[in-house]
Parts: sequence; C-alpha cells; structure tokens
Amino acid sequence: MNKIREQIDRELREVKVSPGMLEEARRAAFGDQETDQGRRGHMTFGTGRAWKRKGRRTAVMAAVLVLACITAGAAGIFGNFGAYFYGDTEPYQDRILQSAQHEENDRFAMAVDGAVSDGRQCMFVFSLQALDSAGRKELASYLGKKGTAELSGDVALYACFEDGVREPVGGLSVFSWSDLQSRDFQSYVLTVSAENVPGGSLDGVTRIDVEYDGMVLTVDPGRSVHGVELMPEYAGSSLFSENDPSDHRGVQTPQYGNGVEMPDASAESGMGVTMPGVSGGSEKDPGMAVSDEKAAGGLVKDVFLSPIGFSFRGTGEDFSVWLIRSDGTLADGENDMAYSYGFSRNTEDNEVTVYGDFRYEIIDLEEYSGLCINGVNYYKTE
Amino acid sequence: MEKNQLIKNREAMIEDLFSQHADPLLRMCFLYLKDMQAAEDAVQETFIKAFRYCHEFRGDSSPKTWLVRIAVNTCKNMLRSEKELLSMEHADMEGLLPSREEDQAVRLTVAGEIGKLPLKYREIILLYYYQELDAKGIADILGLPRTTVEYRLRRAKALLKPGLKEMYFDE
Repeated sequence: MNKIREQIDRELREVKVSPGMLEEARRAAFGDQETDQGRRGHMTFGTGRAWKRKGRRTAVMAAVLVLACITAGAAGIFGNFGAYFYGDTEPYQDRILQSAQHEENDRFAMAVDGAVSDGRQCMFVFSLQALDSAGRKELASYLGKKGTAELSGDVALYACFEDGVREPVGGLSVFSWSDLQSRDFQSYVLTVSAENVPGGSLDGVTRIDVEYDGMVLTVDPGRSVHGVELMPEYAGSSLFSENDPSDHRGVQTPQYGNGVEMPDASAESGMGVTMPGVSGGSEKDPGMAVSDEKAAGGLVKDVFLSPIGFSFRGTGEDFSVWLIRSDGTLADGENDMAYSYGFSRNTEDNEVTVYGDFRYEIIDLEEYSGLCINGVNYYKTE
Repeated sequence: MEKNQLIKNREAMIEDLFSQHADPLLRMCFLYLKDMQAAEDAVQETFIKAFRYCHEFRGDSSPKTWLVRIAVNTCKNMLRSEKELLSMEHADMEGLLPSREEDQAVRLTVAGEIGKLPLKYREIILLYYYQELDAKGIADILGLPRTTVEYRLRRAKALLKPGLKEMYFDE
C-alpha cells in the first residue's frame, strides 16, 4: 500500500460505513423492484434523502444572468445584500439598486433589499420572514431539503415587458443561504439564467415580480439588465462533461493571436473594465504550467472584469482563470477566491461564453490588473 | 449456470466488495464531495446500484474498478444535481468530519491537502493513490483521454507537493 493511502486511512480512520448499510442497500435495491410502496419504504438514502448541512455557505453555479435572491427573516435583518458580500460594497452603493420594498401578509414578511449589476450579471436580494406559527412551520419545512427545490415551486418570478405582458421566468433554481437560516427566517439564493426569460432577452423587461404566498414585490431591473448577453443554451460546466465520453468535445487549436473585441458593456454599466486582447504578443506566464488541453483552449475574446465577476467568450472546453493582482501575482479562483464559473455553449458555432461571479465578494478593481486565462494574461486598459 | 445462481454469486461478490472496500469508498467519497452526509449517501447509492445492476457486470474490469466507477459517477451526479455541494469546494476538511475525540484527533495532513485541490485534480489523486488505479483505469472511469489523466496527475502532484512532505511521493 502506498504511503498516501496509508496516511489517508490513518487520518480518516473514524470515517466508516454503518454496519447496516449493506442490508439497507440490498432492501432498497430489491424492494424497489417489488412495488412502488417498497421503494418509498426503503429508499432512505440517496436521491430520496434530505441532506443536512448547517452553517455552510451555499452556492450557485454561475449563469449567464444571475439573479440572487436571498431571503431572511429575523426581525430587522434587512440589508442582506451587504451581508451576502463580504467585501466592502460602499464604493458601489451608487450602483446598487436600493429597492427596499416590503410586503407582508399574516404569515410572512418579504422585502427586496437591493440589486447590483455589471451589465452582464445581475444579482438581487430579498428577505423572507415567518410571522406566525404556520409561516414558521412552512419555512422550517424547507430547511435541509434537497437543493431547496420545493421552494422553487413556491417562489415565482415574472418578467414584465414594456407592452404590459407579464411572463413567468422559467427554470428557477433555489438554494438556501445558510448564514441567515433559522426556523423564523431562511435565506435562499435563487438563480435565473437569461435563457429562461421569455423571448431569451431581458431587453425590454421593465420589472421583475417576485411572488411568494400571494405577495408580490417588484424589482426594477433598470440599468441592471443593460447589456446582458444572451446565451442560447446553457451547457453546464465542463467539469462534468468528461464523465460522459460521448460529451467529450475535443480540443481546439490555439488562436490567441486573434485579439479581443471590445464590448461596450462597461460603458453601459459603468462598472466593469474591458481588456483589450492580447495578440500574438500575448504574455504567457512562464511560471505557470499550462496543460496541452488548456493551451489549446482556443480563441478567447471579449474579456470582461467587473467588481462582481468576469466573462469572456472562447472556443474549447476547458478554461482556467486567474485574477492578476496589481503586483503581478495571481489569485487562483479555485483556492484564493470564492468564485465560480459557468459555461454557456452556442451549439451553432460551438463557442462558449464563460462567466464567473465573485461569490460573497465585490472586489476593488484597483487591486487587480487583469485576468489570466489558460496561462495568457489579459490586462485592463485605463 | 442458472440465472438465479449467477445472481446469487454476484450478490455474494457485492457482499465481499462491501466488506473489503466500503470504508475506503466512503473515505474517497468524503474527499470527493467534501461532505460527510453526502458521502454516506453516495456510498449507499453505490451499493444500491451494485445490487440492482450486478447481473450486468460482465467482468471487463475488476469488481473493485466497477464499484469505484459507480461511486465516482454517483458523486458526479450528486455534484450536478446538488449544486450546494459545490460551495464546499473551499471548506476546511477538519470542520467537515464528525466530531472526534480530542486525544484521538489526527491532523488531516494528506486528506486536508487533497481536499484543497480543485475537483479535477482531486479525483485523479484519489483514484491513483487511494484506489491505486493506473492511468488507463482512471481514464476508463472518468471517460478522459489517457494523456489528459497523465497530465492532470502530474499537475496534481505538483499542487500537492508544497503542502506535503516529499516522502509521500517516493514510490
């Protein structure tokens, strides 16, 4: 046995399966084939089981458009937007839509705290508080439920258009935000991608209605939705595609020399900075190991960095992104910062748009000079 | 051999697999998912599938490799469907373990460092060092080209080394 395995076994020696697990698995496997009743009776693990996670930050896979709705319920706990972002939001207060709406009925109080956008991603936050035992019971019922999917059936979002048409936003995914969770209030992160908006565009959307338990709050997307780039298809993260050989998309030829187009999104939002492309003279960090697959990551363009996230377009299927600090060192998104990637693939030209959001943090752009994508540095211009 | 007898033999095989590999499988899933509850679910689900589909096991790979493949796929499916798990990517491994007796506590030197790796490197390390599979076996399980596995293994080792003593890599 190798030393690493020996050491892992030593360190995790208390991690052991329960003695009854095999028998439970056997019953679940064969009981399932007997009757539906059997399945319900035996499937106490796996997909039918609610997972318990306490005190943990929950996350959302980045989407083309992220609408983050965080519910909370402790009396007086509003301003969750600032709580969600650990970073200092003060420099961006003028760019955060202060909706501060409030609605309540006998069971719940709901409030929208704010929204922020960089023109490509939009986040908004709302709070939900139980006011009586029935409401408390209902909120408690969501605690620990798998992916809080049940709540997504209860919360509804509607996109309201200039012509007065009100259409439901489909494909909601709701995730709890553990930091503000209790029996009286719960916090959730709700993700909506632009592709799920009727018509595939947020242009012309005058407001977004948030509905829960008969209450309706409106979020004026305002500048938050300007410049949103629509993704025809959300293909998921390539992290997982490799599990399916049929989904292996091959490797593209490097084309770093093609440069980067200058999107006007930053002009619209006023928040982000665009980075001109790095052409044939692109600076490749000599100290960074770049895999053959990453080096073959293909054309990268429309690189965009903002206080709340980044985005770029490219071909290929595997991208690694680092933030370049002002001192030239790299901040690894997977270790140094909490941010996630999302991929959206256009099936027609096989181009992907990669977008990331800095989870729980609004960064100071002064502290960063650009992005390093697959070992190639893209510097912002002033 | 009659079908019923074949199934009985396969079930016996799974029982053997459980007795030999269930604990290591749980530890692998824990390091993979970084969530004890989810890891237990994953192992349970793995054996449910093993029982359910044991008659389809053709012996193309070893029973252990077959079981590990099921476990890895189960973990991946969980990560797909349970996006909340992704947030655990930055969690401290120590805090994710069941409470342990103070005097028995062992610092998670290796497990902790593996837990810090990005998933695509972590899974390679787990399969290579912990499940002791070779690059070809890992490639088969993950559906990756062998060269990709070999690259990632090199990269993963390079990422691990600063946090670990060289002695772990002398084999």
